[in-house]
Amino acid sequence: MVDIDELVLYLCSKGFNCEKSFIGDSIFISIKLRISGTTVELIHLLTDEITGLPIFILSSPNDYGQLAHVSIDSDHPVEIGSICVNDRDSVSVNFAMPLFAIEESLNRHIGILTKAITDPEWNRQELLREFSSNWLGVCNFEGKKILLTSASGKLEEVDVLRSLPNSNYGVNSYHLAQTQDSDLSAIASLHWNNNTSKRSIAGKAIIIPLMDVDPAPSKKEEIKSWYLNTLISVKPENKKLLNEQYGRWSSREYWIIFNVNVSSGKVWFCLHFQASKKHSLPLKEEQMKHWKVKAIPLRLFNKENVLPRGGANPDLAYRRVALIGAGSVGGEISHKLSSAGIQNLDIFDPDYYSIDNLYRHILPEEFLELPKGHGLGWQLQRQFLWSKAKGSSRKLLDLRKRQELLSYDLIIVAIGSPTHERLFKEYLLENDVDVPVINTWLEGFGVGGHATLDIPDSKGCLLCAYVCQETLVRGLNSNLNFIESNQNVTINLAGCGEQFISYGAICSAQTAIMASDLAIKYLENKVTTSSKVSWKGSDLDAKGKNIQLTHRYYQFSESLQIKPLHDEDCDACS
Amino acid sequence: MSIQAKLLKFHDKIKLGREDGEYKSAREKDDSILKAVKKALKDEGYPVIEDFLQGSQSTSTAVKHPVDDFDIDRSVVIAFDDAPDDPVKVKKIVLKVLEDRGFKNAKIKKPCVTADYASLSLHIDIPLYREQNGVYELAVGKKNSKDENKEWSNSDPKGLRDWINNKDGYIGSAIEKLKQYKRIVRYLKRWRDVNFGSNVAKKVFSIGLTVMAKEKFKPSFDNNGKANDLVALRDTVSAILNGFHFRDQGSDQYKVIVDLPMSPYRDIFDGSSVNTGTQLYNKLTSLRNKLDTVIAEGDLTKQCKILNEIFGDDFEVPSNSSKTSSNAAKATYVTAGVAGTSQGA
Repeated sequence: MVDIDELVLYLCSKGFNCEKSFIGDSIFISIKLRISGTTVELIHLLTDEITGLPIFILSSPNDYGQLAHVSIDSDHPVEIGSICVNDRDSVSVNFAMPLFAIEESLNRHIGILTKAITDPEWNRQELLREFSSNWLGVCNFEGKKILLTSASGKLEEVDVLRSLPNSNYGVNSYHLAQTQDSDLSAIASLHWNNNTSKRSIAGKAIIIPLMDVDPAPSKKEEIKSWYLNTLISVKPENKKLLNEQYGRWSSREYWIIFNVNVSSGKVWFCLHFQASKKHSLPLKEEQMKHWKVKAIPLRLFNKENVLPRGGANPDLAYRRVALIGAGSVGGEISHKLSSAGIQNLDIFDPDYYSIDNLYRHILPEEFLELPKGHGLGWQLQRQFLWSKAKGSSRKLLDLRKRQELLSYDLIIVAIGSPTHERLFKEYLLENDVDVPVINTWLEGFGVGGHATLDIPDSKGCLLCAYVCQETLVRGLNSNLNFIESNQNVTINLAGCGEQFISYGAICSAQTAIMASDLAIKYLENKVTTSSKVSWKGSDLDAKGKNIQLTHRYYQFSESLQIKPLHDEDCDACS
Repeated sequence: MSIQAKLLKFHDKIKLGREDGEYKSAREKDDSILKAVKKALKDEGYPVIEDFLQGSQSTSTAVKHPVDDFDIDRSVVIAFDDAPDDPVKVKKIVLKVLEDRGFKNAKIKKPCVTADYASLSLHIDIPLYREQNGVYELAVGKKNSKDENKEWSNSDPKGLRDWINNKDGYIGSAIEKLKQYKRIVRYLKRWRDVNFGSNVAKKVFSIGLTVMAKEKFKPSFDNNGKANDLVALRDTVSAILNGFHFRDQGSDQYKVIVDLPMSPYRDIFDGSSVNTGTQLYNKLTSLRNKLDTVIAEGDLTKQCKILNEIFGDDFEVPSNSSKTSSNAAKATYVTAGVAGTSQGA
């Protein structure tokens, strides 16, 4: 812990008006500043260890009006202002030189305060930009949180369904306000119990879009007047509907859910109205006397909010993808595509999920004995709430149906069967099926995995990856492979039919992530030509089994880099 | 189509392999002669304990000569304990078999018995060995050599074959690299046959080119594992020229020296003339320079024209009309019906 006298001396030496002070037994330092002719006091409490950016508190924060990045804490005997300099974890602090760290932090605090006090327009814009976090400052966190599934934010009245009794976690612990435009997956709906037979109606929620908004109130007691003021920013036609239609239903509880665009995007916030007797929706000052009003946290649960927050792309929702192969690689691919925002995913695999699969597959054991594709479809809809993933027990060669294939934007083949994959390719060529196809596979012993993207009418096709590099005619093994052909790479624990290639879930996942990345890049138009990509692992296990590796393995240094697929000696596309 | 594809096509044309008709016919003749040789030696008390192919047929480096005969080197081995002290004695028995069967030019050379088929473009060499505990000795001496010029000379014919076939030094796709080396040897042999007068060509021994190329072989594959024979040939020729195989005799004259890498470790070109060495050096230099030109040339047809000058008419120059249009017609596969794969998912 830094010595307080040493700190005071140091800051004084740097020109700060700094002194040691006491409140009871607590010792702190006070720094007085002049900003725009006003005296501002910052307080710093010493800590045993510097684990983040040192904190300075604004004394008497209400003296300066509502300041951006300052939240007022009224729970103390005297009101203090917490200053948000930036995410405290986003800086690396020199804990070995605490004086430097404290000085730097002090300068940052002063900088942001000075900007907020001296630049009112910036201050207002920042307050609006930070609307959501400021709103939380006046929220009441007791009681049930509410989940809203609205996507558009248009004026709408919806039932608020109560949380399930004794549910303390998961979506069933939330009150649920589900709008008409919600398109949750069927499986998600089952788990959410989003119907009145499972949940009772708690009241009505009115969703109100605003044209404009003032900064969030800084005190809870300002909420009522702030609400009435905010109603001014409701479009006239919506205000008419509120008066004549939505507000007439009498209830003891109402939830008003506003949404408005600010510079940081659309913000949503909720007021909860509670009365001892049933009343219509309060829209005027005289109606407010019946109601207790509190701001409550609102958890928005719509695609537009949840998908980008998780790094997914909502634009991919409308692309149709066929995934053939629901093994360890295919399973991971289905997961990654869904997490990227693909909703329309058809998963084909004739295999059933077995105990042997457990340690390198993403499905849990409750799907044992279920067709893998169906299991994945269920699981994906369960996790990715707008997913429309569905399974089928058909295999690759059963899919040689032109019209059906043409309905997809992309076909991904993850079956690790060069014979079937080449047969399928021949079908596509002969029947002029111009749908892009990704083929992906991995090799045993952790040496690596590969993916090709075959875009019709682009230079390069799957058969380019099968040009025998010795003879330059079509080969039977991919020239991307790292393991030389015609070696026994299988492990046999239980006799015929029980052989398997040795690789672990990590290899499957790496291959799947790489192939999924290629798929998403194609669907987002970031890759527009036929491509190939590989990842290279260690040769340790292969050497241990005396497995011979290819020249390409030893030369390869471009893991995960997407490269052109075209081979000038490919007879099919040259 | 790439220049590599053109080189492979050329290679397919010049290589003499087991699947070639000429070779198959020659093998049938060879089997017949071998049977007669074995019987004759056995009748004389020298039963044959082993026979094996030697030379380019045993190392898959044989080429068809554009004009001349091709060789079969069939080694015959008798037991050390049965062998006469005079090595020429058994060679005479073999000579008589060949003469009795109507061969042309049957004669005993220093390292072997040799003859030509009367009706085929086939030349046969039969080296004789005696063997004890895996050690081979070659019957050395001509028909009328003095005793001091006749001997059972220490030799390691299988060791040489294994040395040529060895791929242990190649990391990654070792088989493909060995195959590239063998293609390089075949290219060099055809280059010799096209670019030297017949008298000198005979003295630029195939085994000499084979050993030089092996010692100086520079494999060339792109990062995807596709062979680049053109660069490999250029780099190998360059390494041969920059190595220690040519001894400067002054006035731009050279002697070529290539030691056998296995017993008896003698110089393959022992007794070879300065003229042979100088021609070989100069023509290899010219070859390297022309290959540099081909490598620098971007146009496939122009590349093929230069290679046609280097290798003769078996290296085809594409014409504009030779392009095929149908993918289906062009689709050809590797000859294997099935290949083991490492692919999974």
